[in-house]
Amino acid sequence: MTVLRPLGFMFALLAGLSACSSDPNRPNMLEGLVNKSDEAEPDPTFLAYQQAGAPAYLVSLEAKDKAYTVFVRQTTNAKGEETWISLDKLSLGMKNGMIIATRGMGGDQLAGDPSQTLAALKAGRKGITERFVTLLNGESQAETLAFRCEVERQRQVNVDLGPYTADTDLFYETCRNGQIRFRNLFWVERGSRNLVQSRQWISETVGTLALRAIPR
Amino acid sequence: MISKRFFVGLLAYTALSSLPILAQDAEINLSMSTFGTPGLIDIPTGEVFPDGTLQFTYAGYGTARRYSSSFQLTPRIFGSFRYSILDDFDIVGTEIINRYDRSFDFGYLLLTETEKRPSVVVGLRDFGGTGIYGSEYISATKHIFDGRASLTGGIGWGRLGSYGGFSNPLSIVSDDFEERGSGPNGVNEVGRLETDQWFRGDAAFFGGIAYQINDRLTFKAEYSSDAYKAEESRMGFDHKTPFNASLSYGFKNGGEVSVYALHGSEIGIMGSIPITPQKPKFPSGIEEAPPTLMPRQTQAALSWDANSVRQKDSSLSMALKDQGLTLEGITIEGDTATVRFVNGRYPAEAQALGRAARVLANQLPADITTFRLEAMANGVTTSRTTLRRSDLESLEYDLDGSWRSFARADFEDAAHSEAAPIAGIYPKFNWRITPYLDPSLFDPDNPVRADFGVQAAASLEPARGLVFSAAVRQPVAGNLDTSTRPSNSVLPHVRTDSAEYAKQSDLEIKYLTAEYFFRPGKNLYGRATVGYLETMYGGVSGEVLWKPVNGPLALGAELNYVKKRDFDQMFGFQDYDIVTGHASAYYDFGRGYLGQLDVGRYLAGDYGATFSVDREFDNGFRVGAFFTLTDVSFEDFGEGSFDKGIRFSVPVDWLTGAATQGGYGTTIRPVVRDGGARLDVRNRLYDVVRNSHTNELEDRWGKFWR
Repeated sequence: MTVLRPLGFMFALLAGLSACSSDPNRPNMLEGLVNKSDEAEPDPTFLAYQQAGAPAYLVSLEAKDKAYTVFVRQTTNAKGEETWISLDKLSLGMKNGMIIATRGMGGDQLAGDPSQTLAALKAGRKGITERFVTLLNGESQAETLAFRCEVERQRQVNVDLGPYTADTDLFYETCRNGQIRFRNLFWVERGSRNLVQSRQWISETVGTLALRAIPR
Repeated sequence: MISKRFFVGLLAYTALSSLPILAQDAEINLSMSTFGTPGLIDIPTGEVFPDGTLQFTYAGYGTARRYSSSFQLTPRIFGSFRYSILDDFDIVGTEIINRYDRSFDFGYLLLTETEKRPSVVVGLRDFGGTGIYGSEYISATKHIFDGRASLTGGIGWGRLGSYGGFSNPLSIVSDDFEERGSGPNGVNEVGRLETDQWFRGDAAFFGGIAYQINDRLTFKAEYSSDAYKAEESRMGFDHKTPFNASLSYGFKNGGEVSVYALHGSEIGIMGSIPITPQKPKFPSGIEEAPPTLMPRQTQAALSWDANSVRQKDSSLSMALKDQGLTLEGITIEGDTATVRFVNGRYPAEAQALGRAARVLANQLPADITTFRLEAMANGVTTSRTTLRRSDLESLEYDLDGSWRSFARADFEDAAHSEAAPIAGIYPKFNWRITPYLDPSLFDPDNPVRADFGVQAAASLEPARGLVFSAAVRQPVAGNLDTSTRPSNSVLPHVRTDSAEYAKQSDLEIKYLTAEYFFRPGKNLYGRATVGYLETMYGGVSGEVLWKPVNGPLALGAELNYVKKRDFDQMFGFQDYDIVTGHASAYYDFGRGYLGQLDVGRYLAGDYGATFSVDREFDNGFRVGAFFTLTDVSFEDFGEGSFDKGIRFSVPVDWLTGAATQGGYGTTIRPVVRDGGARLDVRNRLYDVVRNSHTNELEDRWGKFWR
């Protein structure tokens, strides 16, 4: 069904005219290039889970001012992997507060294995860990990267979660491989050992997401 | 307090952040010559582009301008196409006119650079054009000072042997190298490979240096062995010195702007921009997240109703429709569900399979453990993929889930659909109104001609495989009709009357056809088309293709009887009619290289073959080249000697990141003549069918979990 239009695409870009069609799958190709600020339709599934009181995260994109949204947990599978969905139809794969996948962010993480880091955080100890990330690259191929990370407790921090203030330990996880270097931050609640707040690297294209649990 | 800005912000951010990917490479931008190939100013360096790079370059001084596009076809081979405008170059009668020249280059990386040795490139400039720039070279480049500077030295022939030349050292091998051939005599000899010139005649040394002053600025100086003889004698160019120099500013995205001093008499400006097909702006796309894979026995599956599923508005149909997929058939037998669906949204069929599988897992009862997904194109089933439900559940967030899910899937032909049809799917009706742009690039008088207007297209599918479609165009503005070159072809004017079609038409029927697609047997596909097939021809077209789902080879045969349409592009025909057709072989060599050979009879009644090679990146970005040799002599063919060209297509999702099928593409021929011209019928089977076959699925399987 590949349709190749005999258009000089650069000229078409310049033309910037819109098209209309009976097919919702072929909306306006040119509009996509010139007008990216269309309002997203609120996802009814998200609203249903939110109203049912599902656990929620406030999530922001660190590198962009005022880029934030809310994710709610939709389901947990037999392996303990959770899928969280947002109002604007993005999703996150999570496990015990660690991001293990993203969907819909332009430079997605297909999967991730941060289990060694999670173990170090839960145990509250310093350690050298291995972290694996599978990205979807520009050629539609999965590409797994391995990082060597250093997990280290920094200090005690109080995190204001609204209804109450959490007493946490702040950990740094500093990761690198040959080309990429990033630092994740985790605020681990004392007692429960839950991650109530974090800052987690996704990919070079997306950058870093900041997550904060919304207490119910 | 919930903001939709996240997504918007994300878009804006990723748009910006996609640039610095290149910037992290500490290396200097590859230095471009004014010919748009790796080089300093006039002279070539011993470097090549990074693999797959598509580079566009403009360079010009007072009376001459060059527009070049280059492509690194393999890690070692690059090719270039150039359109040059030289003011007042030719005299026709008493009139002084500009020369609009098209030329091709070729370069091969002989040696890669190591710590001890330079990289070495052997190259041909303007090997098939008028020979204005005809030259050959061997050039070596070595980086020093941690890559901040590079030294280049080389030897050139032809133009690059015209200043400071000496007798050809290759004459040790054979005396034939002493004399350089004369090149084309007149325009009709243009376009051949002038092998009696290559590496012959006097040779000369050239050399130069590039020095990176800081992250952005690069200084270049060279000693050029090009004497600019033609420019001196015809255009009044003053060659005062063999030395040239330039200052370049490099951008983060690899682009470069330079100002250069040429042979002590001219100042020129150059700009270049590289495109890296492997790196679209949004590597994973920006379409919404796939449906969440829910545990078995969810509410939807519990309310499963086997009786209503064959209705058009069943919850399964609706859930698939939400993902841009149309359910056309379903059969459930024991623990296996077989579904037939049309992917109307995703350029990567693997993504459609992944989403369809998740919808099935969420909708079907827990005891159905195997999903068989039949993909369709133009009404025929093209492949059947078998997936295990348990694999979906275990691999969703698996680190190696992409490869594992591919390895555990089975792919087979689906010559006959095994899914019982859903009621009420047909007839289907679609319409679409779009702007269009019809370019004619680099014709001998004008580099850019184009018409711009509005196109309305509609299609009706009364039953599976049968498609009635039409498109009409209304040009609004353009200059296609300003061509003043009447056809001088001695062959039947099968393509050279294109200007007449532009001049004598207003509202035009682009196509008006009935098509029938069918499966004659295992691995076989058929197409029959009747009607107004393309701008210039109408008639009957039939095609059969043999293409196994799991193999790299496909074979096809096409037979057409066509009549030339009236210039007004309405319903009438002219007197010319012809039986034309080809036998075709297609081979996927792997790593993105596709070869195609078409042998048969062309529109002017000439017999011959077309050879094509394309580099197709996994994301669908495609660049290719082709040439056609037929029994029409080079003299009868006229300018260019034989048909050849380059073509490229860019998928919409590569540009926008949105899940939209289709792309923009064009074919650039140095000159359009009547020999080796093929009918341009729509929906040739190979491209219709291949998207859901194993090779293509594997190429984009990373999208299965997206």
